[in-house]
Amino acid sequence: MRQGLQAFRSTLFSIALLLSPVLDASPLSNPPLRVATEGSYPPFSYFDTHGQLTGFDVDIALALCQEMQRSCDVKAVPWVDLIDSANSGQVDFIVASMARTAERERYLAFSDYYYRSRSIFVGIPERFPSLAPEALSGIRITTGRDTIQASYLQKHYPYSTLLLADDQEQAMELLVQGDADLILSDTINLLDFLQRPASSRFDFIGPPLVAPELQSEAHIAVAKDNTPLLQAINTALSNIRLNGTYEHINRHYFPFSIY
Amino acid sequence: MRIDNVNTNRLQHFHPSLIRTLHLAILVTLLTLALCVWLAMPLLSGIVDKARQTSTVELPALTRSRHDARSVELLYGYINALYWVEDPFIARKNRLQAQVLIHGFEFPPDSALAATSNRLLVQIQGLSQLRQEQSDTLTALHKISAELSQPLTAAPQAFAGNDAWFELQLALSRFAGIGSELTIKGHDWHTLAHDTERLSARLHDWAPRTPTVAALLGQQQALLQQQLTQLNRLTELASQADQLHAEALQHQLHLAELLNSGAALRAQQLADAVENDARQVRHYTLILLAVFALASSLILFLLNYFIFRPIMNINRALRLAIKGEECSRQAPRTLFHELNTICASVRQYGSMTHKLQLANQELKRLSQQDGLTGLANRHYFDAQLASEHARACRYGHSLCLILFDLDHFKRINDRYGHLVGDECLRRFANTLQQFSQRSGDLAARYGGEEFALILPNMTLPQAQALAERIRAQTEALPLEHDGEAIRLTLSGGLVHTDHTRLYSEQELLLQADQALYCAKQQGRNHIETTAWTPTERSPQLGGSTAS
Repeated sequence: MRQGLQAFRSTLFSIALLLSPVLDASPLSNPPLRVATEGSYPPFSYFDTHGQLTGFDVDIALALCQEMQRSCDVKAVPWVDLIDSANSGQVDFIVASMARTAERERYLAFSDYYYRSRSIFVGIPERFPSLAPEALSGIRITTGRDTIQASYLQKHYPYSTLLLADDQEQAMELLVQGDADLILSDTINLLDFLQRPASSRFDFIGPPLVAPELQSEAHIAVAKDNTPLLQAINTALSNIRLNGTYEHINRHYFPFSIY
Repeated sequence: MRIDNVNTNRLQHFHPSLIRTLHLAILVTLLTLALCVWLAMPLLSGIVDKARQTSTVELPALTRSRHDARSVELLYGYINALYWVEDPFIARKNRLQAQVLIHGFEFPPDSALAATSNRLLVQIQGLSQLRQEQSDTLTALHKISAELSQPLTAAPQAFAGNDAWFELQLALSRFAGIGSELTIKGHDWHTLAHDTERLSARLHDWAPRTPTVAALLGQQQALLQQQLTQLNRLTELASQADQLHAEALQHQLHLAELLNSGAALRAQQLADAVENDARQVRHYTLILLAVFALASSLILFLLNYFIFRPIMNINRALRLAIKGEECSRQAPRTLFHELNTICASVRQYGSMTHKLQLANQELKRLSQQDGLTGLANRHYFDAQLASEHARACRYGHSLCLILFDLDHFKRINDRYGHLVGDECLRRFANTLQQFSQRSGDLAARYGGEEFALILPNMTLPQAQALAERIRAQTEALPLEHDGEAIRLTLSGGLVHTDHTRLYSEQELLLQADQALYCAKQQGRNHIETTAWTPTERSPQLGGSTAS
């Protein structure tokens, strides 16, 4: 009987040992998670007047880390280098308003979506009564390099001149300077742009575009084989959605829910 | 006990196989389990499906519709801000936010929701545009007002002191002042237009009377006409804006109402359904447990009644059979064929054992009894003498042995025939038997007409008296053959010792034989006694003669 009890105890002990990597998630014992964001995509990620990296994406990343009980190190990585940085293991996950595409899925795994948005044209409305590809023939349209909007324009607007900028700020600058006639980007991103005094002559043109390539959902990305982290992120995402943290961050940046 | 009777009656004809019954029982158990599974599984999968539907469809729909509802509430704010706010920058900001908000709705295309939200967007954009136009019109009005106020500084001297003219100039300047202060909201455009009209009419009246300033008046009148047009335009725009505002609010309300989806109700219904299903499963489980409890009690009872008890009965019957008792009632028939087979075998075994035992007893009897007289035979006598001798040695009591010989028996045989001789022997044996009734006493036929009597634990005088009585009774036996009395006498040799262990049974037998010989020598019909005591090793002969 005594022997049986001892055997039972040792079994319990070995089960606890087996479970320990799962149970042990204290922030102290783990190195900080390295998170990449874009840094030039207001109001999602940008440097404020004090030079501090901030934005909706940054706050979401920090909230996720806190929910996962891990410390976090968020840094800005140029948009075009984001996929490589996760793929090569330099960062653990990306929170950069990234849409899920088949091409990106070859290198990355995507979480559940964390906000939704649409793509829309912005320019001087009086100049563009129609947005048909033929009507925009010869028109200079700008957008970010390696974005779903860039692929969409290449596919659907072959007669227009496509000006690919390194990031959204640069694309907006092209429009303001008059080097571009139209910009195609995310509605919420453009809302921020349109509310600036310098862009008062611009406006949304037409309704948001509807196309399968222009998914309206932004996802968090991890390296393709990092399934445990992806699951942890999904759980944390669901938790911050349910416990009000997400709502709090949302309200800080936008007057309405963008989930 | 009634059950017993009923069962017994049925058992007469119904004997199923135990194995088949067990198979049947297992089959019934499995079928019951399968039935329960069949009943419970759809309910459980229903619960799973409903729970999944709640969490994957209804709750997200609920969350989504809550979000949408909140967004629609925000729209109310945007519409009102657009309507009330004068600052074009803030108005634009509101309009842009409202636009993105509406763009953010993901209503199914071609639905009433999508149509309403699109119409709302158009109205918001229209309202914004109206405000822009109003703002432009106001700018024009301000310009007119500024122009109107200019000629006042260059008033003609001819009308100095003329009250009516002064009044007109005052009205004009006041009007210009009002015009420069105008904002989009809070003005009665209609009254203003009326006043403008009246002022214009008065200017018209004045024109012929004042040719010197007729050109100036005409110019001012034209400006007033322009102002009137702008004011009328403003009136129209204001009423359009009011209408659009009201319509937009109505649409916003309509959208909010449309968003009242049934998701909450559906989730509630699903939860109720899940609760119902779970209750039912609990119900079934309880019934199942009760049925199993009852069934196991019943099975235990039946096992006990139809299997264990019969087996115990069979076992008892078998033990009885081994003891050799007749056991027709010891192993009763049972319900099951197999047990019945065992019963039958036990019964068969019992009856066989019984027969064997009877045969054994018969054989034993035959091996110990003399066929003619029914007394013990020589063989048994030897064995019994040895046994009684040993017993007397062990317990230290006395032992007496008497040998009898019928006198001149050969003569009786010769004279009356062997049958009469045999009859004499039997009668004597009978007599002898009467005197050996104590336990341990044994009367035996020792040889042809010689008999022996073992009398353990009896005093010498008693033994002598007994021997004498036998002798006397034998002599008195009423024997006859063809009316002729036959006189039968005997001689006897008695040996008695109180210290049996000093003498062997052979010595006793020899001494008895010698005593018998003495008795014969002394003339027959006489018992010769030899009594041994420990002091005298040699036998002490004494006699008792016939009377």
